[in-house]
Amino acid sequence: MTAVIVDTSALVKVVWVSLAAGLGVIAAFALAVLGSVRGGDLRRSRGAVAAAPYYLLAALALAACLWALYRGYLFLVEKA
Amino acid sequence: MHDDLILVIVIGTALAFDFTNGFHDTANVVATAISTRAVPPRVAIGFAAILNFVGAFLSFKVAAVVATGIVDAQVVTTSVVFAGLIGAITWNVATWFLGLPSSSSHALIGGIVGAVLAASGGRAIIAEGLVGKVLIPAVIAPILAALVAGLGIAVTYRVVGRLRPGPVARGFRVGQLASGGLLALAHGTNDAQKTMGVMTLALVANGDISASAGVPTWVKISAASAIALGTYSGGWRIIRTVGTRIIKMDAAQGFAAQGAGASVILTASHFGYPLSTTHVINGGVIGAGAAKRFSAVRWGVAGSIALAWLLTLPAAAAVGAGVYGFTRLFGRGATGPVIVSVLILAGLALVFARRLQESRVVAPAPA
Repeated sequence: MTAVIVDTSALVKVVWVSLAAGLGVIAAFALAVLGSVRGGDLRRSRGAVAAAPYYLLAALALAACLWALYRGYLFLVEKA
Repeated sequence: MHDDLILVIVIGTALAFDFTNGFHDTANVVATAISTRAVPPRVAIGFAAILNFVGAFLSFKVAAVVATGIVDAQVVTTSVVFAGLIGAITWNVATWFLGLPSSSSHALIGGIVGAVLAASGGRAIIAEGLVGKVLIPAVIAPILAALVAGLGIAVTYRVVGRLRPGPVARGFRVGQLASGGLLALAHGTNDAQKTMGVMTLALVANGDISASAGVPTWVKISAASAIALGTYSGGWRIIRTVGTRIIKMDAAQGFAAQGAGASVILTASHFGYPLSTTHVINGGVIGAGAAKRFSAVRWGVAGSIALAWLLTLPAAAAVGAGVYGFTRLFGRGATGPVIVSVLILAGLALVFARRLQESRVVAPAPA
């Protein structure tokens, strides 16, 4: 009866996709902040070469966040 | 002539509801960004108002979603829509008065369900729709958002916990601009379209347009404008509750709450599962607070909010039913709605004048 009233399949998808997307974006942005702050500290103390891996991490994590933002926009426009 | 007068009253009432919706729900979008000082209050509200306006034009596929599948559309008349809207406005203003965030969508559904009950009885209510589209999502939304935000903030503290707090806070404040922008767009798309749907429903019920016609352009523009104006007016009392009274938030928590909120709302919308923006954001705020320290959440405030959520549907339904019954005392013409409108306008003018005066004192000074 519950399965008829509630689309449990859609509900399960909502739960796991929300968890994956939400955690993914939050973790990716935290990594972007980590890379940016550590990179800045290292650039000042040990130069640009030492900071490069952290800046790369920040750039990749930020790119992932921007992609998620774009996907979010598409979800908004495409929803049924 | 009488029908046209009722239609004009219904359209005006729908726009008034849309305004209170924007006014009431501003907090969902801007409260966390304001409380973490990611952006100055007036700028945040202006930004949210513009994005709400833009969001209202992004998609028109959900414009008639509110009553669909919840009540029998055959029994919906302009008088029913009018009574339902008054129920929703009354609940929105009452909860704003108390500074409690509650779902405007649930208030609208409750108002219409109450009016339909009074007009046609219980057989006109589609119980499966009410349970599946409203009640179960209302329970799931805040729990899911709290879980995502709670786990998100735990991961975040692990990643950035040993860094200098100043630059970290600045980083998350920048992130809040993006997540807040997405939330404002989502809010405009979801909520402005509900009013568009109600206005279109009234036009169809009055015979002005056919049921297969799309949403008229003037309806789109007026609904988008009303929600944007309401958002720009800013319900400071609720902003204060969401932004500072549930938890004392840092920038990372603000980002986690908004990021969790945006992901849950957009995912749910995509899979056709309607969730309340209010429930999701408040769930996210509570989750982000509880994950840091359980006692950091003011559970008394959270309890008051939960109580308001429980009461939203029955209270709006009771007002909707009462208003429908009252208007019918004056027959099927426009007399009843006119009397109710005058009484409501007088009451609202008194409440808004008093509270706006207070909120100017409470609100932080514009930067």
